[in-house]
Amino acid sequence: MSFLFALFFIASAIAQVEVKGVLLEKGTRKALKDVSIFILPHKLKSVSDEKGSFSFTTVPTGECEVIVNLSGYKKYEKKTNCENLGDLKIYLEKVFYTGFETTVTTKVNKRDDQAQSLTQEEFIKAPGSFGGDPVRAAQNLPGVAANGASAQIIVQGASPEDTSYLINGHRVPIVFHFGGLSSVIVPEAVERVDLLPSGYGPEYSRAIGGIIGLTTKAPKTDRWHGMAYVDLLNTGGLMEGPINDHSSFLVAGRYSYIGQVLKAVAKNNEDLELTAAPTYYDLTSIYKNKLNDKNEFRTTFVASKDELELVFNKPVGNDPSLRGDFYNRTEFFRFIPQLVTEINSKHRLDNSVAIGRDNILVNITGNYLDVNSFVITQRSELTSQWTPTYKTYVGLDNQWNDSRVGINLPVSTEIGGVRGPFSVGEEKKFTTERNQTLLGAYLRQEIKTSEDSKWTYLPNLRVDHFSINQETHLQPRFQLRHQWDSSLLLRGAWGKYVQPPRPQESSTKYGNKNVGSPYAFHTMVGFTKDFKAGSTQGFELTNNYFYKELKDLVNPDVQKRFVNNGTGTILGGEVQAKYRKDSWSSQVVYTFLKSERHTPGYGTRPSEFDQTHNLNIIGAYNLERWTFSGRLRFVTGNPYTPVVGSTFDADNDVYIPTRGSIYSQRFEAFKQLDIRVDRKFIYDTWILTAYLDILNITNSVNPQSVEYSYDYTQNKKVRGLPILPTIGVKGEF
Amino acid sequence: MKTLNGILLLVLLLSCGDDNFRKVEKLGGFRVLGIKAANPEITESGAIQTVSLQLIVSDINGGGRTVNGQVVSCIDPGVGYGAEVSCDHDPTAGPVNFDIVFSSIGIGTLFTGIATHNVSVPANIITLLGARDQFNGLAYLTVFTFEVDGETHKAFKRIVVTNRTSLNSNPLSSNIQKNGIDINAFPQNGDELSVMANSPETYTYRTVENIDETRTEELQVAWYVSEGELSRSKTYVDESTEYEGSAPAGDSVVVAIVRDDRGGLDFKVYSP
Repeated sequence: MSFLFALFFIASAIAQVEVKGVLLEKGTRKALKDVSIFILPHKLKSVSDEKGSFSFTTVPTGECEVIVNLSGYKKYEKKTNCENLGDLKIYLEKVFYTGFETTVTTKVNKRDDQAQSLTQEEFIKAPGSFGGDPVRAAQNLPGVAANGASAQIIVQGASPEDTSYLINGHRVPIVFHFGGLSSVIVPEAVERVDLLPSGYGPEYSRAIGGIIGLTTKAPKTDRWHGMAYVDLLNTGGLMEGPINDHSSFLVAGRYSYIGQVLKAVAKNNEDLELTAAPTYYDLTSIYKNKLNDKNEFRTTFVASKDELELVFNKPVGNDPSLRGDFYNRTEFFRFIPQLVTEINSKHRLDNSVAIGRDNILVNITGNYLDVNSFVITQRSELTSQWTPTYKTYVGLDNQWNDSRVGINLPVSTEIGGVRGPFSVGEEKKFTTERNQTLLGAYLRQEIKTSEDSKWTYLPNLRVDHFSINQETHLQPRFQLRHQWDSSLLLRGAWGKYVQPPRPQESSTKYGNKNVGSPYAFHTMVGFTKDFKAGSTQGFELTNNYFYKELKDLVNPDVQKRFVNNGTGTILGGEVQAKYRKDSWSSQVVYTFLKSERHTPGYGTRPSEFDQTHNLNIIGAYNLERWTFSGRLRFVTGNPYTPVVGSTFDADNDVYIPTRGSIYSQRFEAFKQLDIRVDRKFIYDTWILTAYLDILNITNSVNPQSVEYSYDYTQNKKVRGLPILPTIGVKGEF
Repeated sequence: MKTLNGILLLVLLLSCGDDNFRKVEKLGGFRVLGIKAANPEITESGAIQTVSLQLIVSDINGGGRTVNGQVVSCIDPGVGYGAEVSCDHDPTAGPVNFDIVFSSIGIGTLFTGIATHNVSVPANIITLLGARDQFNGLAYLTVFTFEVDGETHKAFKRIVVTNRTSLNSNPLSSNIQKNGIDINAFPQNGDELSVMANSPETYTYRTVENIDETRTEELQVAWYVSEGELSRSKTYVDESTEYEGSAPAGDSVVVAIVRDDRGGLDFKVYSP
């Protein structure tokens, strides 16, 4: 008997089982590869493959412990009987799921050294971004400011009109929905947002201020993912995943019910009645197909619509003629197919076209503007690495608009930000069809004198032709880069930038067909010093100086409606200091600038966007599943033109304001503290995030404009955005 | 587009108003409420034509003082395109004195009434203009400037010179009505005030595309009271405005000014 027992014991002791398993990241189900999995006390080890799979072929039965210890993740330990392991599925929990840093930590493929980029991981958690909006987050970048409640982007003291908005390199008419709280694409469908300030390269043009570009992401291919969120103002969702082994698809959408909130607020307002609550929605879809080893095809579809209707029961403030129905609709879509061809190891061809429609309708008590445009934009770029020291980018950047414009509007001339009453203006009523062709071609060169040279020379050239005024502009743009050592990059740029006059300025029936194109010369120098010495922690400093000379700016004119008699200068410097240590990340961004304009008859005066000091202090702290972040902003108040008197127009029963010295006064400084708290709940196969984002938590008044009594003898500053909290939850798998 | 968003935002902001601002309908200090031309439009000719202007003025708190002013007339410098209301571009316009003696006009102690001025309009000012501008007409401005209590008050009136054969005429308004019948006592809280008028005229406007468009005037009424408030300071002729406040014990006045949105005007003043 004892012999049989001993035999059974020995047989049991040497019995072995096979253990297979998969190692995934908890919550995201992302496969973790090249990770060691140990089984103790047997000292067995297996390494996970690309799909996270691992196996042990000979595991002795009996009690054992499975251990996975990966940096950045919580240690996994499981004690059990080895024969019970079977097919093992291990979800490894990250230490931090929320990382926040305002500028890039990972390498983004940006060509211009002075360009600033935010990846999705960064903008989605940025304080003040109001739910992770990429363009609002971009306002944390050096040289960028917001224009009051409208949230238009001011790049280095330039007019918002001088900044272009792009999606995948193609121009779109708006970047923000009504009110400026959200941009027109669901943040989770955006891979990154790029800011191209002064001295940007030849790939883009037609914007003398700068460029804000959104790049949509490539749909994930590992499995189907989903996301849905709801907060006080919006609800939205996203689905993405593989269709087959070479194609994938993403669709995302959002609907805002902000109007229902406003409608409830305005319910008892005797002055105005919201007949249709302001609302907006947008839709994005992306399809990607890896056709073969050399070709990748992608299409992006973006659509956006904003709508608002209200009735003024009483005449409006100091323009009593404004009374009755008011309606505004802004909608656009773009369908953007793109084909990228790797011709060979040295040449790559990127072709894309955007086909779309823009529709803008504004109806103010019978006066209207109705713009319906069919738009095609086209981009092609051939990238060639001729030698290790010589690389070129040759490209085309064309745009064609076929617009039908219906106008029944009085001429409303704004000088110094003060606009006369609508009813005084000479009426213009007409319908016009207009074709506009904008042709652009560019050459970008990156030259090194030797492979190990620290200097890179970029003599670039851009040519633009505008059919609207039959002008062709040659725009040389030079950039220079010096990699002093591995941690210090010096850079400089100089170039000419031209943009066509706006449609209303060059219209034969509303403006002046002889208006020319305003242009600018940009000069910038700067450096970035990385003190982190290869680590992810430490200090990084960026410092830039810029000077812009503006020429032929378009101004209103009594005789000719619009003339190119404006000039201007913008001079400034910006500093960005970033520091990251363990769970802390922080940065200080400061911009100093002086932005002036000169107009004959009005002399030299500050620009409307002359914000002398612009300081952002941003910080974030990660604590397990919590992230606390905040942003403190201080910006010099915008200049404004005082109204010093008025004249009664006895025919129209309105008072016409008399302007004082143009932009001779300033609003009080803009001060705002925003905070954000994120809490993640990590489950094996999905993640739930709850967040609280509070804008202007101190409820600073931050005056943005001046409201006047009917005869302009009394006035009051109109406050900016009050304290605005939003609470939201987001689930993703 | 970005400008449009700004305008929309501005309109919304302005619509909020400020309850602490003086109400547009409330009479008190010196004000010009309207200027009625005997001929809002005149036909092009080689001669100078004289047009009589009536200023509807109010200075309830002025105690019957004399308000000193000046008047100047000139071709419109482009007010509709943003030009300042001024005759500085015409050195021959030369101001002349124009004083309002409130003790000799107005109603009782309310000093609300009419002052008159004749303006000489050179009716050949459109000769050199294009066909469209000759048809739609060119404005000849008369600008009044008064210095009162250290403040400058300016008001102006356009006389349109045109080669159209059909000229605009002033609207004709009924008496002010209270709750649908001619007013015979100062309104009490909740009373509805209105005026009637003759049918609006139709006229021809030449658009920038040189299309002759037939349009119909839209008659609007501006309301003023010396006491209380009104639910609407401006109405269409087929609408009423509600008086809010109790009937005053002393002198009081209600003024209604009807405009045809192209320079024509009529007015009615009521005082018990």
